[in-house]
Amino acid sequence: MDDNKEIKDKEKSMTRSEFLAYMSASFTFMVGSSIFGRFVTEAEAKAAGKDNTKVEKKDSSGGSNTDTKPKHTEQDYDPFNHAWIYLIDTNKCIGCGMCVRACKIENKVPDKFNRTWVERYHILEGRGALIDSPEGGLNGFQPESYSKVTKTFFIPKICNHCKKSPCSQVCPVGASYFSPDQVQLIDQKRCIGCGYCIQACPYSSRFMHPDKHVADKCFWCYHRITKGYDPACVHACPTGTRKFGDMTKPDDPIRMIISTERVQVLRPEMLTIPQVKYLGLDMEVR
Amino acid sequence: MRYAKHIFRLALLLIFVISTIIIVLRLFVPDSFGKYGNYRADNLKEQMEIPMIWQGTRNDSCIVCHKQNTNKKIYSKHKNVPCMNCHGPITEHVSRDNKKIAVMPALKSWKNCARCHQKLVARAHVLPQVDIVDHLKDQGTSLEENVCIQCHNPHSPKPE
Repeated sequence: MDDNKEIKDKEKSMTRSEFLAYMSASFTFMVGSSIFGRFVTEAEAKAAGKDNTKVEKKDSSGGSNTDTKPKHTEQDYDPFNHAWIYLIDTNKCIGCGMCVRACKIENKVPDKFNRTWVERYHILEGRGALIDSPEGGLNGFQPESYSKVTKTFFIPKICNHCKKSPCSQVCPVGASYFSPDQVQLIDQKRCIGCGYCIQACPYSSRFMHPDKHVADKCFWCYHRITKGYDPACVHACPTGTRKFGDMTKPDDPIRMIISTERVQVLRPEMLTIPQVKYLGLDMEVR
Repeated sequence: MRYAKHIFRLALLLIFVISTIIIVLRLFVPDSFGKYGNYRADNLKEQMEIPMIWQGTRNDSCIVCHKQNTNKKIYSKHKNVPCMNCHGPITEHVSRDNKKIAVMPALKSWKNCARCHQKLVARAHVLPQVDIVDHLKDQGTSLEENVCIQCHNPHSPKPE
């Protein structure tokens, strides 16, 4: 009996150690093969001259192709050669709300949400400010009269595309990121819809998309600027309030304005370094 | 060696755990993740491939077929207003190979004119503005849907 038991124990222990050895060997083989495979594919891609940064030609731009030639095309777009910048000249804004309408059409923004909006400020005598924005300024503004208002003006607002953004810092899955061409983008396939970024944004420019259940915000019309066009809101603005430029181009007019004139940003105390610069901002605007 | 079995077991277990972690990471992290930073680099390409709807530059698309109205608009006071602020997006009107597919929708309501020309305190005073109710009283008409364009041509509102 005792002998049998010993033999059985021995067999058992042998089999277990063998099993472990087999398992570890097979796992190390799999890991090694996968890593090796990765190297091989990278080397093959390099040998084949593939460059993933360049986008293959795809005729996704609708409409006529008789427009004036855009500054660059989608095929030769390299995100490392651009640094986009946005300028809002608040002295020129007349509050027509065409930018909001254009954004709604271009990006299919759902009702009751806005990626960009226009606010009207009524600065009161020593009592702060009254702010109104009916439907984000989508249908324009109606005349309103308050007593003891010293000045009123319009402020267009948009995602500020901060360099040190609180929204992308809190993202747990890396879905919200700052791209090499200085645009704050959301990977909506990777977003899990937790809503941390919506709480973190100090400018409240993010919202939860009611159908997709992911975070959504202004992308500066990334599909337009990479094809060489302006964003839809800049294109629709009839007064030149909204301007869009490239900081890497030495002869860019917007770069000239930003580097020579006195520009401000919204909420500089948050230290987020916004890429949307304002001309003629009032103290009460935040 | 005989008394060091437990160390080998521990080493095997460690190799097992580390290899499982590596395999799980390889399976569930997307390929292009971490190429440029802590995000999926393929998303840049996906964002670029979204089709444009609000198409065209200021006047150049429309002048191909509509010479008269576009030429009028270029030299009028409305030269800075893009055509698509009053007309619909061009992708609903022209297909990709320059063929007409539908009638261009146009906003002829007075509300669209009032977006810019309704008298507001906040507006810059250089812009021509009217209080629409008073203006219609002066002209002796009532408020209808397309009341503005009966007198003013939106392509050249006030020729000079």
